[in-house]
Amino acid sequence: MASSFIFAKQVREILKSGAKEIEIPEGVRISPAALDIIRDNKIQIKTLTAQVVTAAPETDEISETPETKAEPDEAAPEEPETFHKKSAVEAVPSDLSAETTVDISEDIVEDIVNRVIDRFKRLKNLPASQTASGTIKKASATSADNLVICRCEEVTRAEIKDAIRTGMQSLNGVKRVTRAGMGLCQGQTCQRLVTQILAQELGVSPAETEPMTARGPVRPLTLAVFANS
Amino acid sequence: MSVKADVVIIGGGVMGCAIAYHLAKQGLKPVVIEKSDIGGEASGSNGGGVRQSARNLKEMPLAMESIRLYGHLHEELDMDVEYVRKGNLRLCTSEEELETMRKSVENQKMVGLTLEMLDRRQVLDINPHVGDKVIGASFCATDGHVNPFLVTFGFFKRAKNLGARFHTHEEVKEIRLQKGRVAAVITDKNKFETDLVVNAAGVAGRLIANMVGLDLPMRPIFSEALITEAYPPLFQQMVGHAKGLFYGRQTSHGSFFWGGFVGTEQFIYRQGKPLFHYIGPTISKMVIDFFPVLKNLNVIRTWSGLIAQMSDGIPVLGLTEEVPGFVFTTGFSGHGFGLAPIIGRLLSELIMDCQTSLPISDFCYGRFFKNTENECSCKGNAACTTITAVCPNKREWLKSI
Ligand SMILES: Cc1cc2nc3c(=O)[nH]c(=O)nc-3n(C[C@H](O)[C@H](O)[C@H](O)COP(=O)(O)OP(=O)(O)OC[C@H]3O[C@@H](n4cnc5c(N)ncnc54)[C@H](O)[C@@H]3O)c2cc1C
Repeated sequence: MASSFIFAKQVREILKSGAKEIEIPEGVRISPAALDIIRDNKIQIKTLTAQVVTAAPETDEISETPETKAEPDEAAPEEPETFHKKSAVEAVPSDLSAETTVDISEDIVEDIVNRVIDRFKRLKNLPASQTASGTIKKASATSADNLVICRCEEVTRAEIKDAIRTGMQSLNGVKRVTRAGMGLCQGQTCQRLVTQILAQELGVSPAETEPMTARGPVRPLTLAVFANS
Repeated sequence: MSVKADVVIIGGGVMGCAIAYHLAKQGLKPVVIEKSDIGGEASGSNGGGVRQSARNLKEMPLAMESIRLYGHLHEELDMDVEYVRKGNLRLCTSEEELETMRKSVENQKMVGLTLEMLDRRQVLDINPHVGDKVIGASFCATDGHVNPFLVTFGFFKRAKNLGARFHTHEEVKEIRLQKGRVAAVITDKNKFETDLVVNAAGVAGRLIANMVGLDLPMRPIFSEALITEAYPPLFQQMVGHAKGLFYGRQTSHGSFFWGGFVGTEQFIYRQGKPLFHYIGPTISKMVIDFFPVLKNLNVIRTWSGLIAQMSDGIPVLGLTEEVPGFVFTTGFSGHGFGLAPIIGRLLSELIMDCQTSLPISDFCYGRFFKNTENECSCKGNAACTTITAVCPNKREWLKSI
């Protein structure tokens, strides 16, 4: 199998092709953003059973095994292979045939998997408890969406995602319609989080998004002090 | 990629979005091209003042109808746009200002606007927070203010839902003509074949006009503004200096918006949107002078925008004989936001039916080329003559030539 995570970008591609059904090999997870799109567009999820996942837990290959059913994962090239290890380890019984012979201990696999999970969690800005479980449930996606991203103006992740999906494609644009970053701290706290959400929704890297316009005063100043500056 | 479009609107500011909304509502599929994000320029940086008072008298009929439309905009857009209709106080501090104001109030009454002159005591009844300097004011009770981002966003969202197509982060580079008519709009990403293009590019409206060989007596005027932290509700009117030196309001959120001018703005010419160290402080001084209670309120951000100032201070609207298919909606000269709903409606009427429910001939492009004070006689907006050719529901006509 090629991917152990289904990302929003892939789902969008599937949508574009007009399909109303998405095939997901057992053990493969769906990112919260992807899950939202699946839900919003009422796409059927069809789970493929373990036999199509041709991997050998004992041999722990790192290289890819050909699997035509799964989508190639362009969104996050490093995750799939390592996650594949985890899903293989957890979900696939040991009676599958070995195809490669690279020898890696289960500990190492576990370690790689954990690092990727950590990275993914940071990316998603979720507390550990919410992504730890094998599949991302509806409930956890919802509570992630309820997360307050801009604390000054109490703007939730869902509101930010909403603005982006409606068509705001920059931090400044998101800010104007949601108020995220308009409060007392002027985005000093939330800018990075909003950037991540934006990058993820648009399927680009955070570095590719334009930063919010930086404006004075750097710290709040009273009108009286500002008048004499 | 080459695409066919009923009409291409250049500019995703409030005007572009409002026109797109009205056209989409009538079944057209307008394409809006915006080089930054929706509301990325003036529509995303203005004060949100929605006023009729102190306007050029030619704009008054449009402004009055616009205020009526703002009254149910929240229903039309299906969202709260924070519209507040609690009046506009234009504060006077000298006998001279009062005298000028009185004359202007009389003139405005003559064209049908209801407004009045107030003495200091009456001003205090309406707004008890004005400073000692203020000796009187004009007051127009039907003026007000709105959240400009939400209005722009609301028009955009509705237009999009109704089938308008928005291309943001895409810039118009060229407009192609064929036999003198609009034929295509070229962007950095696409080519749109169309015989109708709307120039709603705000301050870039002059550049866009240049693309079809026309020019406008327009220049950008730099304008700075600031926002404070939130404060419990103090007053609901839009307030400002008699001469427009500063203006502002308390937003629904509680923060105060203040904008103003020091007098050097029209000589500022810079790329981008810089800030000048002396403008924000000057605005703050005026604010404290007029509203001393606010002096300890924190300023959290300052910013600047550009005003599309026409030589005669009123916008350019409608078609021109010189380039059939080219529609002007630009040059709002610093007070366009208040007109947005009516402009959206009138321009869509013009595009759909070649006529408008309120006359817009005062705003035609031809006016700059007449040397008289008389009414412009160019056919641009007057009748369905040359413009019939570009009217989408009369396209048959085009085929016959
Ligand atoms: C600081 C400030 C305060 C103001 N306060 C008020 C107020 O209180 N009340 C009021 O009524 N008015 C006010 N105004 C004026 C008001 O903001 C404008 O009249 C109004 O927003 C004009 O809208 P617009 O859609 O014509 O222009 P814009 O909002 O400027 O939209 C034009 C759009 O065209 C896009 N564009 C330009 N060139 C191209 C291109 N080549 N290709 C693609 N897209 C392009 C731009 O990116 C821009 O988004 C203020 C203006 C400023 C700057």
